[in-house]
Amino acid sequence: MSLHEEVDKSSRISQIKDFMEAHKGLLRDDTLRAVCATGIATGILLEVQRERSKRESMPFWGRLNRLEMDLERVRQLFPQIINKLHEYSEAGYHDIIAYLGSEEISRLDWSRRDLPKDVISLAFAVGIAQGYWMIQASGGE
Amino acid sequence: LITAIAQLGRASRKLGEFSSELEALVDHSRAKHVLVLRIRVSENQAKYEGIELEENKGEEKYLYRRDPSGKPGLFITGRIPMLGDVGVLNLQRSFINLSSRNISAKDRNKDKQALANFEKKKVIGITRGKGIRQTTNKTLDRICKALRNNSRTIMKDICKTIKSMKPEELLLTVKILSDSGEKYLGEIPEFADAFESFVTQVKNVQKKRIAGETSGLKCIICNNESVSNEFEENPLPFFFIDKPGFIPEGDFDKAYKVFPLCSDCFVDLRYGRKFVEKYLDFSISSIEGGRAEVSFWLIPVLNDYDSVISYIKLLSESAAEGKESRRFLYLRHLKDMCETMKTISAFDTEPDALEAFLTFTALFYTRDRQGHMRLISSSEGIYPRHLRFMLEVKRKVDSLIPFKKVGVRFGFPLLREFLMPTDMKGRGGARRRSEGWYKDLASTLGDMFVGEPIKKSLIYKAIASKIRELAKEADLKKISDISFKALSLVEYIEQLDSSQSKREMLYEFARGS
Repeated sequence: MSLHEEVDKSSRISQIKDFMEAHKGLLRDDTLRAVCATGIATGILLEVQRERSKRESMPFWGRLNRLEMDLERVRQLFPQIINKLHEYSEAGYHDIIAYLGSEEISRLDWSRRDLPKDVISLAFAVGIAQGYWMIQASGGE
Repeated sequence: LITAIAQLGRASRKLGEFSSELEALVDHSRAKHVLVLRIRVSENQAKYEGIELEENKGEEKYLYRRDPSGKPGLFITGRIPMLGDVGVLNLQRSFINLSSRNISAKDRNKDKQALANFEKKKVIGITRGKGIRQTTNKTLDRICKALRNNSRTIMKDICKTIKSMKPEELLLTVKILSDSGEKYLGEIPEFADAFESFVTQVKNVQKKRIAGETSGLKCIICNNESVSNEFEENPLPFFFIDKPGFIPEGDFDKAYKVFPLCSDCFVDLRYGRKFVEKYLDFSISSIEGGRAEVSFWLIPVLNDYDSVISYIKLLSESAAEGKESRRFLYLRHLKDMCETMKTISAFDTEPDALEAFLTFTALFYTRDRQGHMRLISSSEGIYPRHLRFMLEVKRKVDSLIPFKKVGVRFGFPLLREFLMPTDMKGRGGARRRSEGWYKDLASTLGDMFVGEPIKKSLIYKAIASKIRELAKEADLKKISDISFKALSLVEYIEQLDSSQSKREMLYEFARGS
């Protein structure tokens, strides 16, 4: 891996960190940050699927329940995303996925089931938007 | 509130804020152009001499005033809406259809009926306004007769004139041609006087009854003896004095006594209304800058009359200076925040002494299909400092990543975008316009302005529903756009709310210590 690629990847992680820190109004606790992080991973996977199918389909979209999310659904998504990316041999996002899993998604507090579904759905959709936008901005891998 | 509007009116009268009393008494339309019927008037007759399309030079020239009875106007000049059965668009369609040869007999009859309807309601209709029926001016009588006798020719001329123009709202008025030159209605003193006296007069039919019943009534504004509680015209656009309104005891005899006014305060209210409409009327547009369903008046409340005068002077001066003025920037920015998604770059100069006594009341309203003003709610106790604070929060939110890069900024149109139900269609759509969300938008804005806790669950629910609606399309770009807009709105609300709570805590702490 070249130095340029290393720098690029670390800047993407800091981009995610900055994004999470900037939006403390919505992402006010670890659980909502974890939901958003899962959304970012989902956004990346969806864009990868779209690119692979020449912008025609995103099979993973069918598992997102029209973006009406709760903690249980969110919790189940991350392992599936890792599997899918592995299946596609997509290593370009490994660092981001690793960061999201270890630093954000692992902090999901299962006891916060009182969080309104609307807030969870919004945090997740915002994550997808950020994931999608990050890949668009970097011009894909 | 009413007293505050009247005080504004009195002060603007004193300062000559409006060029003439007529300016305060006419109604404003959205018409950019006017169809002018040229009438030559000689000693014994009036003759129609053709039509002209001109730019709107101000409603006071045409003596335009809405007639609440459904007629086009109160005093010859009438309004032609863009849409509707007697609208410009329908007239254009009917005229073009009738000129075409390939039209069925049924459609031809329908279009003929549309033209006849327009002629009756809009052309002959302008001669039947309430203001004309009550005047005994012979010239006016001759003009009206000429219009009625030539209604068919006028119709043809109107159709030819508007045939190829882009549909828009228009005014239809009369220009008088005589040996002394060409004059609009408002430029002829006797017509202007007749209009003025009609608008400010007390209802004739009520005079006798009122003489007995209103003795001892006091004007609610100045507390002097009230002339009457029933003027011919409404003092405020949302108050209808031809309908009974009951005070708490519900005595029918007192049904019309809830709003007694004296003549002087009636005129003050008209001036006050004009002043508010000129400087302090705000509309929440759509993101694209389209039609505004919810608007509000921001009425300054200053109990001291001298302060009102100073306030009006400063506000007019700053408006005259235009963009260079740094005073009242918060009002200009608030207007931008309501109508556009612009960024804020400059801020006001330091607050002056006047502000210590100044609060605003926001009066939220909508306009119904007939264009009448319908009140939604009101919020009292809005401080200029809090308005500035709201703008500061907007600037802060706009600076967050990645809003600049993705081109998202906060503005009240965002709030409208999410609160408006997703199943509503535009004008071409089949569904009826639902109005329940107006109240939600008004109450959310009211809470923001006053600094009360915002009903966040309502906002989150609206956002989630909008995102779910778009999720059906499975379009990542659209989902991304709407999610960033939602994030901007949520950040604004959360930051405004938390800063408010912090300020309240600090205030409590300071009081305690």
